[in-house]
Amino acid sequence: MTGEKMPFTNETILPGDFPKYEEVTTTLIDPGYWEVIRWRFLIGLCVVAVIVILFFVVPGLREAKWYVSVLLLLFISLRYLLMKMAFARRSYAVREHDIIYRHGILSVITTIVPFNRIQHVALLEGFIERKYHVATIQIFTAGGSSADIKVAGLPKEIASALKEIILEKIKK
Amino acid sequence: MMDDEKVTGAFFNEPQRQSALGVVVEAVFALREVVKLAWPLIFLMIIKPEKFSATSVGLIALFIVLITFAVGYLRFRNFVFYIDEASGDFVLEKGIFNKEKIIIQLNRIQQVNLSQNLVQKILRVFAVDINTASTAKSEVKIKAVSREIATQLKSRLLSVYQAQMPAENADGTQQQVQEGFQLSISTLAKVAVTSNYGKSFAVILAAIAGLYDSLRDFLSQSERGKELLSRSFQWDSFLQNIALMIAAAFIFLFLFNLARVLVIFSDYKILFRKSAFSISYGLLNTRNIVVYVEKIQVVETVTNFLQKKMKLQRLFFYQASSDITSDKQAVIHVPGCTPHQENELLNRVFKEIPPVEIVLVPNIRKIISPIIFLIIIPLIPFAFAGDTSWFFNYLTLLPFWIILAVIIIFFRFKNSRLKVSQGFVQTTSGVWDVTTRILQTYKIQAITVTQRLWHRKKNIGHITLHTAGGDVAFRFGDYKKLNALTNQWLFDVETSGRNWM
Repeated sequence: MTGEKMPFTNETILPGDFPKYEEVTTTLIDPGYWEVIRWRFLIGLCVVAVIVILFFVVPGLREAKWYVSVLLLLFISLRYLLMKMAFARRSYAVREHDIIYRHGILSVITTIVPFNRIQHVALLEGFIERKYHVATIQIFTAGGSSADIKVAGLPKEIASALKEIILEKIKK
Repeated sequence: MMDDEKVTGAFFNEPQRQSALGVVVEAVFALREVVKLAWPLIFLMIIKPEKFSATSVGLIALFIVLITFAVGYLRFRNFVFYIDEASGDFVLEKGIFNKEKIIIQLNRIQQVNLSQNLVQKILRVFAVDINTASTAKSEVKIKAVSREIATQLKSRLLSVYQAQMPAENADGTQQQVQEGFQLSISTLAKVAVTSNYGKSFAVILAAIAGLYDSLRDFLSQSERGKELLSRSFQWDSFLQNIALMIAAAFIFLFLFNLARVLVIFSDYKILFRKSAFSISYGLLNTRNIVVYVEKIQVVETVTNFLQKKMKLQRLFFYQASSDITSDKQAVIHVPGCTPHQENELLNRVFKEIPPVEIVLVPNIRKIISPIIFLIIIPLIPFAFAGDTSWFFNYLTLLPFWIILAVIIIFFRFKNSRLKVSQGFVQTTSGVWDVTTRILQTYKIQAITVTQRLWHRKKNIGHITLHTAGGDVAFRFGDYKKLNALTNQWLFDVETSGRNWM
């Protein structure tokens, strides 16, 4: 491993002077993905609208129409608010040896997956995502579903570059 | 001990069927499937016997017997297995209408287990389970071969994989003296007395509830029974009965647990190989498992106050598996051993665990949520106490409950620790049963660190280490220290060239 061309670094690593994951600046999710979320939300709203219309039209359901409408409206606004908050707090970083994903509304949840433990990587790109040039990357480890991470809304180029990097590392 | 090391090279090259008794074993398996399919009919026959004449019952039974034997025979005829030397594959063909051909490369076969259920035990045949790294379910199963063939096939199938393992067969000689230990009946009895109360209790509770319901239904159908029911419900005798019932339940629980442990783990033997344990046990269902030390991801040792006094430890080995919940064999259980034997096992898995350098203690806030759920919520009825008839009983029971809750909360806090030594992590947790989980840092697959927003100023955080044998977590630790440890462990993982499985 000591090739002449390879720059040899030998920084102090003990005691306790390892690269600090918590000081890495993470990148927020691409704003284009918020548009994707909004479109999906809109599609969901259509379904809700059909339900509300049913309550206004079907004779047996009419008495409950205002309760249902108000409840659904509250639920939808809350959901939208939570989505917005969650989106604003999702971020990621790719280091030399691992990928960091951070999210959570009431907590800061950080998952770090070293490249040399990744089993499989998938790039997902839906119909709406393609329109906004974003993609989702899904990373699987042997650590079970709780250790798998899914970073939605990466710029397309970054997502495919990341996939290539990971595939390259897995091959070794 | 059987001479299972001798490999008859040409033996499995020709396609061969199972032992002739395989017809019976296949028929029993087929019967199980038929019963599963026809259970509504069978159920109907049991609850409404008057609707079926003797001849129709006889005909149905005859039909079932005929069909199971026909299916059993055809399955037996079409089931062949062999080793294709040219390509280095194990091949299995089966199926009546849908012919299936399963091909596995020999070098991917990691585990071959021999087992027997009751039928196989009576017929003196063995089932051979073949596991590879990728499939969680062992789809490849030979149901009935003689002991001789089973052991020969096992060593033949494993020979390729074992030759790849660096430690195994490195010196070319087999170990003559096999080390290991056996669990005596008295050890098993001690285990039975001191563990698994919860599991046995649940089983018994379900049985009693079922019995009680059916008895009540039966009694309330007759006048005499109704009288009996109403008379027996007098308060003072009721309390006496309850005390008696509890005492009886405990004795029953004790005996049931004893029988259960003795049957499941009877004749428990561990033999040490170079880089594996071979474990066999069971009275009705015999299990024979080989555990490769490299595949073990997390070791759990469990003990409680009584077991400590008796010098008894329970061990669990968590192996790499894609889905732990569906694959029960991924957890290997040592039901009881002495601390000395425990050390022996741990040394074989981990070589040597270096002395603990850092011990993390949870923050005192860990007790807040149990206090809310175990103490504050039970106190809420005081605020709404209107009807006092039930309230008196509640009031007398409450102090006992609160004392119990305080004890639970105290021990839960006291036993929660994270211990770090060079290359190793250990966590302890539990109230009565104290569980220690041990793992090597290079076997970590991913790390999750969590901090609640309201814990930020208090510097509190949670950590979860994801491994291929399950998650290991520590909650309410010092956030800064957890981060420093995370960085160190990531370094360990990312610079490790060691194969984690």
